Amino acid sequence: MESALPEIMKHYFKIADIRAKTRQQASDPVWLRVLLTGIGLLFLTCFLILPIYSLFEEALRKGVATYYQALVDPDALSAIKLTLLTALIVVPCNFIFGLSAAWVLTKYEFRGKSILITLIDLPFAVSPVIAGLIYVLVFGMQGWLGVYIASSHPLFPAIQSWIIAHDIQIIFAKPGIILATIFVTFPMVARELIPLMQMQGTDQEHAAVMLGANGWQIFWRVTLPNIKWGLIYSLVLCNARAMGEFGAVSVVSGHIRGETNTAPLHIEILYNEYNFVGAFAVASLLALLAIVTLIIKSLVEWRLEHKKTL
Amino acid sequence: MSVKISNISKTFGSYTALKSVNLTVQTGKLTSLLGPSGSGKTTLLRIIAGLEFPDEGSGAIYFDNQDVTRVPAGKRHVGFVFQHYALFKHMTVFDNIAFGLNVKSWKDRPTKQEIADKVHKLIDLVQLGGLDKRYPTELSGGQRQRVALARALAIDPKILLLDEPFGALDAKVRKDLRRWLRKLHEEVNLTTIFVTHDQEEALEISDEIVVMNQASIEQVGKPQDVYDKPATPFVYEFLGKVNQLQLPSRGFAHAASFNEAQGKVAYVRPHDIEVFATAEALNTEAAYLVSVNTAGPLARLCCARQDNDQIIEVEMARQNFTKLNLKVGDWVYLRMR
Repeated sequence: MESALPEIMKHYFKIADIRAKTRQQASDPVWLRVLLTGIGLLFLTCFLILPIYSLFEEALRKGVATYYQALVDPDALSAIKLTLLTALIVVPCNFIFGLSAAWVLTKYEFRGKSILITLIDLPFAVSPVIAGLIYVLVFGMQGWLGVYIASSHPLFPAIQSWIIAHDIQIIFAKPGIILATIFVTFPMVARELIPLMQMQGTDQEHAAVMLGANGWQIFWRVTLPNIKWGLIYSLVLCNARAMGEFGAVSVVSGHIRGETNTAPLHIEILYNEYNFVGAFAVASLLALLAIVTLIIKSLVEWRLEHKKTL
Repeated sequence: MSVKISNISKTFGSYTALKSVNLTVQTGKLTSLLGPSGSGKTTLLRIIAGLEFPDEGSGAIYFDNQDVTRVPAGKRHVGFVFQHYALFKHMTVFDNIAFGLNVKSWKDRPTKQEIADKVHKLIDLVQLGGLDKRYPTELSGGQRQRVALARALAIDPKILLLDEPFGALDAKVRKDLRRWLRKLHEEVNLTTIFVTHDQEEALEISDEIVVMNQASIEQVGKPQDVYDKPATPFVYEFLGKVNQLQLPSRGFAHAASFNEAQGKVAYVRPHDIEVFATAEALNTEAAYLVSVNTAGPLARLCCARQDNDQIIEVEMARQNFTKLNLKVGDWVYLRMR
C-alpha cells in the first residue's frame, strides 16, 4: 500500500531510484534499455491508456448530444448528486476521525494502543462486501435496529418512538451508503498521518508547552501546519475512494433508481441493460473526477518534496 | 530564582530513572547536571521543567520555596532549550522567537510593536542580526541552537534549562558556543541548569557541577572541588583519568582511597605522581617502565608495579621526562605528589 509509506521514505526511495537509474544508464547496453522501456510502454498502453481511450470512445460513439443526454438523465443526475453528497459528508468525517486518531496514537502513551492501531487497519483488511453486510446486520430491519423498533418493551422508549415517528431508515437508504463509505475509507487519513506524526515526534509540541501555549494553540499553530500537506494528500485519496466505492455501497444501497443509486452503481445498472453509451458516459465522468484528483495529488506530492529538499 | 528538589523519585514501568534525589540550585548560578547516559540527568531536568511529573507521593519541587510539583509546564515560567532545537519548522526565525509572546492571552499580550522590538533585541543578543526572515532549515546547527535559546528567553523565564544544548554540534562550534553561553549567562544572570555528558564542557562553564550516576546524585560542588576531591570512585573515573592502586603501597599511602571488593584501593590521577630514576627518595613504589608516549606537550608513561604488575599511568611535562633520562625497561620509583 503506497499511501501507507511515510512521506520521508518515499523521498528516499525517489533518491534511490534516481541513483539506480544513473547507474544503469552507465552500464546497460542500448538494446536492453530499449527492450525494457518498450515492455513498460506496451504494458502501459494495453492496461491503462487503451482502456481509458476506449471508455471515452464508447461514451462518445453516438455523438456529443447523446453523451450529454445520458448525463442529464434524471436518474444519472441523481446518482452523480448522491455520489458527490456522499463524498462531501465522508471526507470531513474522515478528516476529523483520522486526525484525532492519529493525534491520540502518536502523541500519547496508553494501554490498548496497539489494539487501536490494529482496529484502524480493519477496514483495509476485510472485503468491502463484508463491510456492507456488517451494516445490514446492525441497522437492517432484520438486524439489531429492526429488533429494537419491533420490540414492545424497548430500552429508552422515547428513542424508539422518535425513530418510528420520523421513519428513520438506514439500510437501503442514504445514511447506510454514507456509513458504509465512511467505514471503507476510515483508515486512509489515519494511516497517512500516523507515520508522519511519529517521525516528527513531540519535541515541537513540548517546546510550545514550555512557551505557555494551550492545547488549542499548539494544535493550530504547531501540529496542523506540520502535517498540512500530508493531510491534504490523504484527503484527496480518501475523496477518490469515497466516490468510486462499489462493493460495500452495493450491499446497503438497495439499488433504488433516482434514490439510492451512486454513480458506480448506476453505471453497473446501465451496463446490465445494454445501455453502453449511458454507462460509459457516467463512467467517463467518474474517470474525469479521478484524473482531477490525481492531478491534485501530484501537485501536493510535488509540494511535499519541494518542502523536504528545501 | 532558586530551585529546591526534595526527595524526588521517578520510575518508567520497571525502570528507575531517579532514586530519592535531593538538590538545591542557587539563584543566578550556572549549574551542570553531569553524568553518563541513563544516569537520570535529563529526567531530572524535565521534571524541573514540568514535562515529566515525579512519582506519586515521592517528594516535591520548590521554586523560591513555592511548591510547584503539580504546576503545569506552561505556568512555571521556565525557558527550555532542547537537544535537537525543536524549532517550529514552518515559522521564520522571527516568528519562532515571538511564539511565546504571541500565544499569551490578550490581556497579557504585548502590542505588535512591543513584540517586534523585543524579538529584535533578542536576535541581537544571540548575534543573529539580519537572519530574522530565514527558516530553520536555512540555518546552521549553531545558529538554530541560538534561535532556540532566544525563543526560550523571550518569555522572560525565571529559570533557564538546557538539555545537552551542544550535543548535536561539531567540536569546534561546540567550544565556541559554550564560551559564548558562559558570557551570555554573565550578562543575563539567570538561574541556569544545564545537562551534559561532556565533563570538559561542565568543568569549563559551570559555577556548580552535579555529578549523577544510576538515578542518584554522586557529588555536588564547584568544578575545582569536584575534580580535585571526588567523593566517590565513580566521580574519580568519570572526571578525567585515574589510576586504581591496590593498597598497601609505599608511595601512595596518603592518596584518597575507597574500600572495594578486593580491599582498599587508592585513586590517583596520572599527573599527581612524581617519578624518580633512583631509589634514593623515601617511601616510593618501585615499577618498571613499559612504554612511553611523548607526542604532544606531555610525556605519558606506562609503568608496571614491581610487586603485583598493576599498570600505573603517569603524565609529566616532556622536558622533565627528558631530564630523567629514562628508557623503556628501566626501573622507576613513584610516589604521590
